[in-house]
Amino acid sequence: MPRRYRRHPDVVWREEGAGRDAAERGAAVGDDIAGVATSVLLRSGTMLSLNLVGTEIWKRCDGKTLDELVHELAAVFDVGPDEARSDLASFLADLDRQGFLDGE
Amino acid sequence: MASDFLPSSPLVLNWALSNRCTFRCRHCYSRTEPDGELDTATVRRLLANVAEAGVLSVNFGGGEPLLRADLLDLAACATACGLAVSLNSNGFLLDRAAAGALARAGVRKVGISLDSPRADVHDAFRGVPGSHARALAALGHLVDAGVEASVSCVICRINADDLEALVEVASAAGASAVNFHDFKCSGMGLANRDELDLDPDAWRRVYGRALALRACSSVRVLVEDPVTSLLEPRRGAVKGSVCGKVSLYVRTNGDVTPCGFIPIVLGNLSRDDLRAIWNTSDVLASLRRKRPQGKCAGCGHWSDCLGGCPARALALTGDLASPDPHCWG
Repeated sequence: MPRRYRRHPDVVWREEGAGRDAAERGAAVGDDIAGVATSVLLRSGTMLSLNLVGTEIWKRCDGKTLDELVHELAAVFDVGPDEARSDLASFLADLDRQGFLDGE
Repeated sequence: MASDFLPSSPLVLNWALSNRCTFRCRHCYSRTEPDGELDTATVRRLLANVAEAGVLSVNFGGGEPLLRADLLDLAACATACGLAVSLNSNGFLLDRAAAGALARAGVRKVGISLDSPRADVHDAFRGVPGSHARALAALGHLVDAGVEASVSCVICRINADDLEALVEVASAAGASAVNFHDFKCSGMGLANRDELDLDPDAWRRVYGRALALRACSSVRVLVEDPVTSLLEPRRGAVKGSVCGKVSLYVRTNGDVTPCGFIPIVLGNLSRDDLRAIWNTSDVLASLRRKRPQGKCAGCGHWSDCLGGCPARALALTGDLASPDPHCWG
């Protein structure tokens, strides 16, 4: 059975409206927006901030498999499935290591 | 992951509902806090305001929050506002009925104070016989009610040699985590510092043991002191102290301070907008933009530690930006 990725129930989080606006403005003119935070996550005193791509992944972690996430994100961000899969797996592993994900 | 990020408003409010307590502990900061409690309607209104401002979580404390007759009402209100609700308690009043009522009010987590694995040490420190047994019983009641229960322990001389045993006792009582807090030298903690505080080299040794416990314990062991970055890199996006970067403290009268151990009032929730406090306070700006002073200049751990705990620095040197007096570097 492939793993289904879910946000850990102990995580509280929110999108940052101003950050999202800044990221979308930057993306529209071709700026590097990798360091612009558009959401913030908190679990047991550990805070993470996610950029636009990370936030879109995080919002989709509601029980989807890696294949399902790859399919959705490749369409949203116009990248090939192979590139999306590699980046996604690395990102999810990082979130998992820090205790922000649940699910088997 | 993004970097150098400051949230647009605090994520967590540590909110003292009452400074009244069943105990008189020798390290307590709240006994020297100003008196005055907001009434139920005002707290309810302020909870709605802070939720609207983007706060994600409130952690009720004091004093002993269970001494407030309206605690369940306030917890339910906070839950209804979309806030994740937790609280810290000494456990003395937390029987089976209270645990069930907290669960029904939406309280997700409760931290129970435990000063020692030894009942005689804990009871003597708290000043009330039977308080150790009641604290352990409270953990069990919470677990039975479906509330995540953890142990909060302020490391000081009475327990520094017993951290391993304390984790075992906490685990056996049902706790899912043990939060080791650093001794802050505030309130009664400052008055009794000579009796309770450790020297920097002792802090180095005790933190080494506390961090090692994470790998061999059946419960999560959390160590919050930023000076532990001298022993290992800190996780997450926040470097140094979280005060003023993730969280703020609300006194029983609505005054807002950077944390419970920094007695600098930034505003009052009854009068001031929380986002305005967060984004315009010069004190918070100085906490977020510390520059290395003294021995911190040239220290290889500065970028992770940022000078350690500003509350301790303020209490013992008068300057928030001074090097943490607990630092052994």
